[in-house]
Amino acid sequence: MTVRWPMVFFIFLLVVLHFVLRIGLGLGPLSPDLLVVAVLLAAREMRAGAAAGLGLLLGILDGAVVPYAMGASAVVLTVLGYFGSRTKHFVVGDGLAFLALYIFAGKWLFDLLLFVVADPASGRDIASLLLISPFAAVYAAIAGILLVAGYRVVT
Amino acid sequence: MLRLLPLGYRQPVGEVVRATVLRPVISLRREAAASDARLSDPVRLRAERDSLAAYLVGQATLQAENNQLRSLLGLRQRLPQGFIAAEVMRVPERSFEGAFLLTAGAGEGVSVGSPIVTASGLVGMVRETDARLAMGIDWTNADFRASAMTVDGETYGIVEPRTSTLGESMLALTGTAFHTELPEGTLIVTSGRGGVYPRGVPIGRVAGTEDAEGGWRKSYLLRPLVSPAEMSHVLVLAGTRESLDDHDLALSWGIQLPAPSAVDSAALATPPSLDGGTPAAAEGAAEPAAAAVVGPAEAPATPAPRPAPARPAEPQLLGTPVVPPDTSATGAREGGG
Repeated sequence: MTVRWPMVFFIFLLVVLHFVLRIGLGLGPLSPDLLVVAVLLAAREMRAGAAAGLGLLLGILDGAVVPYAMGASAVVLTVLGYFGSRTKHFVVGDGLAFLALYIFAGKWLFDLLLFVVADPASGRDIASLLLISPFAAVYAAIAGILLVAGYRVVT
Repeated sequence: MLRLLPLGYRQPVGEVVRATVLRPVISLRREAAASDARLSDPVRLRAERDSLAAYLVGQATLQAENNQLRSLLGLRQRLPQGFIAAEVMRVPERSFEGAFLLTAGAGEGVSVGSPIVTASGLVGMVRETDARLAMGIDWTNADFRASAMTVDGETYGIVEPRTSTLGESMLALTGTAFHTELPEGTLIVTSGRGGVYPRGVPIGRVAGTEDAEGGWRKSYLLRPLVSPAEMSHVLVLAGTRESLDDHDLALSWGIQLPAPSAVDSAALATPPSLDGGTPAAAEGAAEPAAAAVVGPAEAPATPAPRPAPARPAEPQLLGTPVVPPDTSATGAREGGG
């Protein structure tokens, strides 16, 4: 498998943007979850094991800036990377409509898995999973396809 | 895998990541927080600075007088204490309820267990520190507990988080005696017991009775003085937990508490076992008095604890003083006059 360096750079950019916007500039929920978008997009280009490894790595980075949640993101992003890669075997194509749906489903799955994996004392409730997470997933999907469209224009 | 690791093993991983890969991001956050603080509300900040300066001018004489009296009584100086300003940072969709990052760390003097306050009252405490970052919990966290009392010191209990029937985050004062009745609006402050929070920090006001268990104790719902929306910029009390035990912060919020029980607060600030006895400054003042009563040969190595006179709480200031009080200069001026 050949390495597509522009894609590698694009994924790296998404990760950097995620941390700069959310942590560095403190934008919070105003910034879409670009880390999940990065894992999902990268997973489509990688083998399942490598995608899971990338998810683990980025999950550790993510957990390092979330108090008392170190490991939860790592577990969830590992699973997400693995299954994201496996989708290649079921759905072939990279149209923007499909990518939007893929990112939407992936982001919602991420929130669902985080809800399951996280400590019960975390205070997360099912209401936020059903009411807030879909909006966050839509936001991530819109941001994701805009960025992918921009990437395709550039490359 | 990481999730299965004990917390003690997970923390170093996080510290390493924050100190290396994420260091630029953390630095950016600190700089952004500093800029926000500078630009957010200059008029209000200027007014607060002027008030503090006026307050400090008035306190300088009292501080010098207090120092002289403590010296005469053989009490050592209370440990210096300050406040560290920090910004609260929550990570959306990831953070635990009531857990947050602080943009100040051990490098600024933040230590594990330091209480976190705002101008309205208690927020929570620091749980972990890095060199440039700290992690804390506020009163909405399930682990939050604080020993508390009424301002008159008649009723004691433990404050813990609650969620009201409408889903509002509240607090509860539990374990209070059944025979006491707290009217709505009663102010609850930290009691200083248990060595977690210093005495006198406002927590909330009684909003109603929550429960009366078996006719032998009651719980009250409290409306917190610091709402979650107000927890953006906070103050961390500097100093070790032992040093904070000695402090009564009620006057910082304009609250007059009854005098604490008779304990030599200075002796508590640093246990004799740590330094082998009283410090030289205190010994110099205390030894002649001991010699006059017992005689030089029978002077004990460590003075027996004695009850301290009832003293009003020493006023503390919220925020880092703009003009630090120059007590030595004032003292010298007064001594010379």
